[in-house]
Amino acid sequence: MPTTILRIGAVLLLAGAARPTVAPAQDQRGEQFYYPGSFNWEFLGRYPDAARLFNAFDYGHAVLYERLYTARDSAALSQALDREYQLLTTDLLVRPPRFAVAEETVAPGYAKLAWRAKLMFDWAHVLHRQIYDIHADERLSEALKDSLVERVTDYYLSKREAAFVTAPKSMHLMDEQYYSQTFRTRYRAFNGLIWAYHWLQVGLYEPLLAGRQEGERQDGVRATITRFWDMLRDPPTNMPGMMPMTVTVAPRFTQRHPRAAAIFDNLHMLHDIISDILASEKVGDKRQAIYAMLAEFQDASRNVMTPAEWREMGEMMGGVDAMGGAVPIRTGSDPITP
Amino acid sequence: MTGANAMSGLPALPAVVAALALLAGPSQLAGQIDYRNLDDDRPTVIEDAYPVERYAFEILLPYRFEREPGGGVVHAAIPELAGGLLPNFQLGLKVPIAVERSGGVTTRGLSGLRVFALYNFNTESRVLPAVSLRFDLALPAGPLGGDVTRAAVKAITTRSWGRNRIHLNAAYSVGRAGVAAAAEPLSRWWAGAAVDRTLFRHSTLVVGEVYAAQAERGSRAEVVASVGVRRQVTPTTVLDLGIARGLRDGPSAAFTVGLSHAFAVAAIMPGGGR
Repeated sequence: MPTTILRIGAVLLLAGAARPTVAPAQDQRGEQFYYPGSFNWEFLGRYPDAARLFNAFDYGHAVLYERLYTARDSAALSQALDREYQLLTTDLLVRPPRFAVAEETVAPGYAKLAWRAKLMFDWAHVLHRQIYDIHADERLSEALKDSLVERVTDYYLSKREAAFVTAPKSMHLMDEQYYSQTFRTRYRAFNGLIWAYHWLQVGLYEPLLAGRQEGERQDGVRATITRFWDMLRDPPTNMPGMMPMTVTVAPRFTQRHPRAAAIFDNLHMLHDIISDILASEKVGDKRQAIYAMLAEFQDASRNVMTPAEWREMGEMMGGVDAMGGAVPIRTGSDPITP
Repeated sequence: MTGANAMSGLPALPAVVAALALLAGPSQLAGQIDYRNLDDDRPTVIEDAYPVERYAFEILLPYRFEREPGGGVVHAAIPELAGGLLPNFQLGLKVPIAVERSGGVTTRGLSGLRVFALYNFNTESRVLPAVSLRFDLALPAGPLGGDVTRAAVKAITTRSWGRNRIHLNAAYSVGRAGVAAAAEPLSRWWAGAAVDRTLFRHSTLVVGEVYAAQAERGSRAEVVASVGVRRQVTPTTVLDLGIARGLRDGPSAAFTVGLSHAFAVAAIMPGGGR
């Protein structure tokens, strides 16, 4: 028995010696569970057509980065993106997966290159989803919904290493880097598809907030999805010509939840920036460039806009018409607009 | 005794399940589980290198049937609770309950207790696979729990290519020789590899493995192959199924089915309990 105890002790000693140190070039997994509550999965239950679209969006975002990162040359990249665009618009968006797509399986190369970027996007997407869930939950009062949204936003922010700041970052980070606009100028249709995703991701909050009862919310969500599909006709003619800003496309949501609105604008801006980094031949060390931008979007002390500048920026960029158009809302006997 | 009759003789199981359900708590608990998180025995012995997410708890309710070459059979329910208590770290407890029929004698009851911890050092990078270490402590509790305490250390790696992954596990245990538990015994050593493929549109993972294990020093090592599937059935629940067969010694046939459910407890999370 003493021998047994000594051996067990040796194993435990080995456990102690195996200290959790990680080489600088290695990322830790760092995954964290979302905030619990009975509101979770309400959006999927009540608005399955809308919720499942986001699963196809997951694929679209992931496959774009994988193709940009792994393509041999520009001709191969163009062909690959054309194929993926067809797959997305004729199959995956039409018959989206029931549950979220494991993006590592779609973008294994990108996930190994920039795990922390993937983690930040995933974490912000969880916040997106939970806010839909809260506003889709018909059991909650409007006051409780507002309170819960702020609570899940606090929880989101508590994971500091994966959270975007709540101050809207300056647009020059997206438009004035040496690699800026590479992706959107070369691949207009795919970029328009991504911007149409982003329009829907923030636009769907508007019917959920504006509707006075579930019927109005259901009608509004349906109309918003219809508007999204309209954008995909004759690409890129009907697609957003500018990055849809939450402050402009979803003014009700921005007024009620300004922190979350800024987080989502920062998220969508970083999406575009990483597309440019991966697409540009001028960027040698992709990981370093991406990680420099992650640090930038976690720093609220520089390159931020005031709330007034944020709203003005939306107008300077052409307003809602340039960003995919206003979200069609029905309240009471008012017709759906526009 | 048929399989169904044997399972009817598990008086302790409802109590254990009820106890774990109490730990899980009422309606405030909601979670999501990833069908790609390959847990040990769910359905393959080989596991992946990733722990449950921080703040997540995972409750597993599996059943396993095993027919031994000598004709004996073991039915086992192995409720398990694992929690992501720290970043990239999980702690878990298994409470195996079994019915063993061998040589015309039927024994039922607790088949030991297992406490385990897993730490993941890194996610996969362009160069390195994901690497974890796991530690298990098996205690001899109950009529089918054997008579030895053992501790084991296991190295785990996971590497992906495309939609496929390969997992390598190798483990060694210390502790004196003796009677092993009927269900979930800790072998002297075991090592193996599993390959899985994700069918992302169906939220399904298919997996196959081969492993070798030696129960005691000097005994003949068994070699076992198994295949299985994990499928997301709700946002928070995964169903798994698997079959196994000994290629050299080992079970002549084995079957397992299980449900896993993930949840969290707001009171122990940042900003929780408000």
